[in-house]
Amino acid sequence: MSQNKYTVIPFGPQHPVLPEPVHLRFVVDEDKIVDVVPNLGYVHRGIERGCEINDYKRNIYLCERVCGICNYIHGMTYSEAIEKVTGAEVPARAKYLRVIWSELGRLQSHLLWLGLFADAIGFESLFMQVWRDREVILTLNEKTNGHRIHLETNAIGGCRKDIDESLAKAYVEDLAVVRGKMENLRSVFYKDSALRAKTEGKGILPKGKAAFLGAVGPTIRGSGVKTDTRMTGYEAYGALDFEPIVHEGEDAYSRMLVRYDEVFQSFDLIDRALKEMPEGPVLNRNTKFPEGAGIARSEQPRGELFYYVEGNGTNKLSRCKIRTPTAANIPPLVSMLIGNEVPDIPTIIHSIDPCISCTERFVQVRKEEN
Amino acid sequence: MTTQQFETKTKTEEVVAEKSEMFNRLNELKAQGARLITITALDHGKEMEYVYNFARDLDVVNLRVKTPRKEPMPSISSLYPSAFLFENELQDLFKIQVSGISVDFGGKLLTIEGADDTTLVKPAVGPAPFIKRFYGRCREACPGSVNAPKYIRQIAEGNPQGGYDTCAERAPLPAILGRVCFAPCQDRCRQEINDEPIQIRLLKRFTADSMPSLRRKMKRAKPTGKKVAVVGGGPAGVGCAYFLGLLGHEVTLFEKGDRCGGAMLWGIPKYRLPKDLLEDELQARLEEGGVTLKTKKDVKNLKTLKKEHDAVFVAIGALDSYKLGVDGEDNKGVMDFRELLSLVNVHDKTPSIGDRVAIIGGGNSSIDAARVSKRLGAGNVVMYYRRTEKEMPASPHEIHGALQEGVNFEYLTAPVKIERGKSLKLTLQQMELGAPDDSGRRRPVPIKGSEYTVEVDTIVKAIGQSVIVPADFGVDVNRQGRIVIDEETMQTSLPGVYAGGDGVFGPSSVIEALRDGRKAAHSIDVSLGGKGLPPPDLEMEDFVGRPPNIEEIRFQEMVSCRELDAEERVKGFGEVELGYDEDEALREARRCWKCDWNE
Repeated sequence: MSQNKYTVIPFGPQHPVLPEPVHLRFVVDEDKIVDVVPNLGYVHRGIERGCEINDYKRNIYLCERVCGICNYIHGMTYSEAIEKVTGAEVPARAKYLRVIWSELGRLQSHLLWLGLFADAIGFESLFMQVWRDREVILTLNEKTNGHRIHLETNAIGGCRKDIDESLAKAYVEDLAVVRGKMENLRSVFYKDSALRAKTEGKGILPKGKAAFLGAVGPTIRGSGVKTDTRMTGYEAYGALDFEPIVHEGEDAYSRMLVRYDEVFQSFDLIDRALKEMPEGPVLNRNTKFPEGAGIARSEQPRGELFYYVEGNGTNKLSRCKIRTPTAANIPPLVSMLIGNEVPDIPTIIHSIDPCISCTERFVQVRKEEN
Repeated sequence: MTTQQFETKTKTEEVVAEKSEMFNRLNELKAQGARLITITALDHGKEMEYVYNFARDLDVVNLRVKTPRKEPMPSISSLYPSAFLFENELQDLFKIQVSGISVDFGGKLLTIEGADDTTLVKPAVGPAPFIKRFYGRCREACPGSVNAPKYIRQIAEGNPQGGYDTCAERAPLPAILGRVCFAPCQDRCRQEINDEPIQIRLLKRFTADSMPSLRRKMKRAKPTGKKVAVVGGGPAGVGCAYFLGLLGHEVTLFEKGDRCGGAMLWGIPKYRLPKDLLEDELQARLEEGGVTLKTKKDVKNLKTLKKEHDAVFVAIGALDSYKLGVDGEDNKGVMDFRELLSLVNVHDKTPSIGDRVAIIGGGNSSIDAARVSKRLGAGNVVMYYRRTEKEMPASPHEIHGALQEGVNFEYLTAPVKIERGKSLKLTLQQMELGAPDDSGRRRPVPIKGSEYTVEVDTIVKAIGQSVIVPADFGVDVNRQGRIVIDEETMQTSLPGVYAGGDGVFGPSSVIEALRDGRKAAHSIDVSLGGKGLPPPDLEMEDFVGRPPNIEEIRFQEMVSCRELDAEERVKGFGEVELGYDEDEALREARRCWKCDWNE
């Protein structure tokens, strides 16, 4: 009789709560999740392979398309990796600019996520409010380089664009408006009883397990582990006294609070970088072809992003490996789902801020002709 | 140009390792608290270079391992669980082998079966739509896995006779079970949320009550020419004989007494189970199976039986009683509950037990003894139990019935001494509860100096039954004297000899005995070259239809069963429960949620 004790519920690859294609098979006993089997591979776009075919300088724009949300950081990290291989020096002002745009990307990503999370737990009005405020940041992106989502201000050896005085003023003023609006929502995120009831104690990821399973980003910081790639002081972060935000709750609620608090941290970092940014050029033109292996790490809104490039002295790379944070967060996700109930699945899946399309940008190797 | 140097706190360390020492390095890194970032591979033609990237505090460690392309790479997912994704990815990207991944997609992470080399995207296909069909919680709870949801449905559709057949498929004594079963199914019923589960037992009884005759026309399989002996005419023995008979074997049933029934006959009072009905149903089953019944045959030895038969099933029951272990236990007027119940149930006698009766014990059989004493005319029946009501093994329903009939309960009391004068003098001692014992219940501890004496006419001991296996049987027994069997096949230490029922598991219920009988019949048939009995199946083709509107039926009240008045009851041995009539049964069956529905 026990053969029918468990039910298998397929979740995805298309599912209303998750606009990204991942397939999870939930083994449930009545309402309780006993096991989860993830299955990926529904959207690979061949970006790693594309990096081996394209000119290494044009790869920046390809890498920015790994993710639609955290695009700037992808291009920046790729540039960093190439700069390490070629030994190109980045001007100080460009390093500050990269911090500003990284944090701007993080802001719009976190606001997007806070909205989606509110939507996942059925808090529609909060979803609308947060996304309305996010529009201000997208408009700033447009003012910077003409595109609402993709900034594309990166170049190997620095930045293609600079922030002039009038733009800097717009940054300060507009971000102050968003900050005020987000501040108004503090009581909602911290105190709303419905929101807490739906997220507190859901998707527990104990501190020790988080590190063991290799969780990254807000997912591990929500479990009380103080780790953030920005602590390594890449670009200008070393000069900005960065301290990671950590919450000890180990649950979905705690991961949400990490992201909410990081929004304000980003405002602070942008303000400070705009003030302390030195004058000077923003780009050192690079002429050397990459040769040898180089790595670069950075902190994406979702966690640690990792680039490994291997050059062979030509204008094409022999290998470009991208490890996105969601790939590292899938084993912890499986672990935190087990033991919860079926109605909490959307909340928990959203709590790692999954970006499946980023994770699956690898390509199936085609047969070479002849 | 301003070049401001920023302090970076990270550096990269390169470690090159042979494949043989790779795990040593990995363990070192693990001990240093390094976290796996990712695994990369570089394709050098015949040779592959694997790069394991680790983060140690703020630094990055790159571990490089070179191996020939054809050699499989050992998986590190045991050390770093998150490695499984990268290793699966490598397998797909470079067409290499990684052995021992915790979740291995077998080179199918990116592609699916039959995809050609130009397929970039795995089609988004999930598994076929899931057909929901369950056993139902009641059926899962039933030791005999009787298809309760099906016969409840048959009653609701106005086909109770079909329900009787459904039940008899797995538990061949529905009329008896409908009166005496403990009904574990009802405890698991979803309607139980209102404390008013579907009365599955009474519905089962209704299927039997609606049968014009309990004798059905059953089709027996073609004779196999094999002979099987069954020892013991209790539920396990009769059940086993019935199924074996249907399967075409020639079955002989040996019974010690002059009537079949075993513990159902002597142990269950007439007010619960009328004896003519018991006999009727047992006889019907034996006739349907074509079983030869030999009564008054006390089997002492299995040797001759084994010689004359191809298989033997031993269902001898638990026929011995535990002793109290106090002085004066053997005095006249001290009787065993088995003795008392047998006199009344089997021999139709009315033993004179006097007015004051003391029952010692707290199980269902002690309650039976008390309620029988009340019917025999005893005015003052007191039950002495050494723990409290909470620990009492008797079912609450039975306790309630006994209280209604005027049985008194004395908790935390145990006998110390019995003396014979003009009447019996029973010395009792007060107890208190101490630490829990093996059974999880709190152990009673005597209170010193709390002894007191009561005068009674009869003392009935009812503290449990034990098994006695005749010494010449030659089967292995365990410490408690019960027969040791292989739980899969029900076979004893002797080949060809099977056992089940109370003789194996100690005193248990009718449904458990029937389960044993069916299980043994299955393995006997298999051992004799047959196909055995069908296992419980989900009957996918049996369309259940739309589920009922649960919100509508959820708060419907349970249909209570008509019962004799308590005053009326103690006057004789008439059945207490009167069962459902057709209208009541229909109403009750329609409260069912149909948990096994499909869509």
